[in-house]
Amino acid sequence: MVAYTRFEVLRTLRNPRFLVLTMLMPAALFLFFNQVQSGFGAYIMVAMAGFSMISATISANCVTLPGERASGWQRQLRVTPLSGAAWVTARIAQATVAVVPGLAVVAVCGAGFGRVQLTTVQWLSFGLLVLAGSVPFSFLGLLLGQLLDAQAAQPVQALLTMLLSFGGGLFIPLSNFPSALQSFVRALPTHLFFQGGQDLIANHTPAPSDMAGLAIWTLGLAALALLVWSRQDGRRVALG
Amino acid sequence: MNHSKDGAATFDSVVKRYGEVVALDRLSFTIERGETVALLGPNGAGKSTAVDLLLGLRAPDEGVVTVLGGSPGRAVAGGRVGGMLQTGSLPQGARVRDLLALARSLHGARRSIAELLELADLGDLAGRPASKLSGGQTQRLRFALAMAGRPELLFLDEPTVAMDVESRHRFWAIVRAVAADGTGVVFATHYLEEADRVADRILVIDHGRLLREGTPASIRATQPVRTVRCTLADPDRSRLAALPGVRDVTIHGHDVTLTTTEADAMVGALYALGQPVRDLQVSAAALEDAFLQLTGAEAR
Repeated sequence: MVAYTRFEVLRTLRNPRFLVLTMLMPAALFLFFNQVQSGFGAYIMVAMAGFSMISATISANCVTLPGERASGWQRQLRVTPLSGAAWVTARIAQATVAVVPGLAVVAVCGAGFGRVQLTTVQWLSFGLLVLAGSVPFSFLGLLLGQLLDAQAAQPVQALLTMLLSFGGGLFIPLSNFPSALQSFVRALPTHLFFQGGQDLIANHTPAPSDMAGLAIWTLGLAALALLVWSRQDGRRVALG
Repeated sequence: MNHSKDGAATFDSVVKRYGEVVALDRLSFTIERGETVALLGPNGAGKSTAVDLLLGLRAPDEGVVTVLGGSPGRAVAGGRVGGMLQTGSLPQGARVRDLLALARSLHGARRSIAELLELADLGDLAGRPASKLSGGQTQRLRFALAMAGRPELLFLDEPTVAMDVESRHRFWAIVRAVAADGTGVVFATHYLEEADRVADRILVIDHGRLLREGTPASIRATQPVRTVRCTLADPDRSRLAALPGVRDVTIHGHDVTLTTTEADAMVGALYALGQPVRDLQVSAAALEDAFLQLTGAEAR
C-alpha cells in the first residue's frame, strides 16, 4: 500500500498540469486578490488553500484513473497481491499527499505577501484542517474516476472544481449570492471548510456544526465511492 | 497422483457465459507444476477468458478453477502467481525503475530491481519513461512486473501480439530461461509456431472446449494426413489420384508430391504401379495443418 501510494505521488509530482493547477494558479490568484483587496491576507489564504486543495484531490483520482481503467493497467494491478482495501486506502492517501505542495505555496504567499501572522499552533491546525478537509474531495475524485471515461474526466474535473470553489464562496463572498441559493451553497463542503479555516485564523475553535457537516460529507462520499468500487472492482473472486 | 491437489492449475467442467455467448463450455484440464503449456486456439476460442479465470479476475458460472491447491484469488493475493494480461499499457509519468520498484514492493521485495532488469533483458533502460519504450521493450517490462514476486506459476495472455520477429524471439528466449528455472508457464497464443517451439504441452481450444491435448509432436501425429514425395520416371496424374486416400497430387516434371490420409496403403499401391519409385519420403503434416483441421474453418 505504501509502495502504491509512493508510486502515485511520484507520478503526480511529475505532471506539469498538476503543478500548474495546484501551485501556480492558487499562488497567482492569491497575489491578484491580495493586490485588489489589501488587508484581507488571511481570508484570501484560506480561500486559495481551499481552491488548491480541491484541484489537487479531485484531479489526483479523477484525471488519470479513467484512462488506466480503459488501458488495462488497473486490471494488471489486480493480479498483484495489492488488496482492494489497500488500493482504496492508497488512492485516498496519495490524494491527501498531493494537497501538501499547493498548501505550502499558499501558506508561504500568505505569510510573505499577505502579512498573515499566526502562532505555530494555528499554522499546524490550519494545515491539519486542510488535509482533513480534503478527504471528502478525495472520495469525490475516486467516485468520478471510477464512473467517468477518459474523455469526460478532465472537463468534469475542471467544471466541478470551479463550481465547488465558487459555490463555497472561495472567489466571491456568499453574501453576493441570490438568497434562494444561499442555504444551498452554505451546505457545500467547500463552504464548511472555508468557515472552519476562517475561524481558526481568527483564533476561534471551528463551529462544531461546520465540522460535523464536513464529516457527514466525508462519510457520504466515501460510502458512494466504496459502493461503486465494490460493484466494479470487488468482483475479484473471494479468497479461500 | 491426485491432480486437483498436486497440479499447478486445474479446470473442472468450467462454464463461463457472457450473456448469451458461451465462452467456456465445460472446459477441463490439468496443468502440472513446472510445465510450460500453450493454450492454442483461434481468436475468440476462449483463451483469454481461461487466463482471466486462472488469475481470479472473473469467476466461473459453473465448475471449479483451482490454482496451486486453492482459489485463484488466494494464489494472486499470496503473490504465488504472476500474470501478464493481453491489454495493459503502462501508466503515464512512470519510469521503468518506478514500475519495477512498485511491483517488487507489492510482492514483498523478493527480487532486486537490478535482477529484474537483467531477467527481462532491459539493460540500461531503468531511467526511461515507460511510455517511451518500444513494443518489445514494453512487453519485456510487463513480463518483469509479472515476475517480480518469483511466482511459481506465470500466466501470459498472447504476450507477443504486435511484436516483430526479432522481438518475439528475444521475448521467448527470456520465457524459456524462466521456465528452465522451474517456473510453470501457461501462455495463450494463436501462433502455432510459438506453441510448437516453446511449449512442453499444447491444449488446443476452440469454442470454449478442449479439442486436443498433448505434446507438439503428438498433436501433429494425431493428424492422419501425410505428405508423400517421390520421383517417378513417368508420372500419370489420373493413376496417382486413384491411389488409396489421395487428396491432392502435384507434379513437377518427375517430382511428385501426394497428400494422403492412408499413407501406408498408398505407398504399397505406389510400388504396385510397376515403375521404379525413387527418393521416397513420407512426412507428417505440419502442426499448422493439424491445427487447421482440428479447429475447422474458423482457424486463421
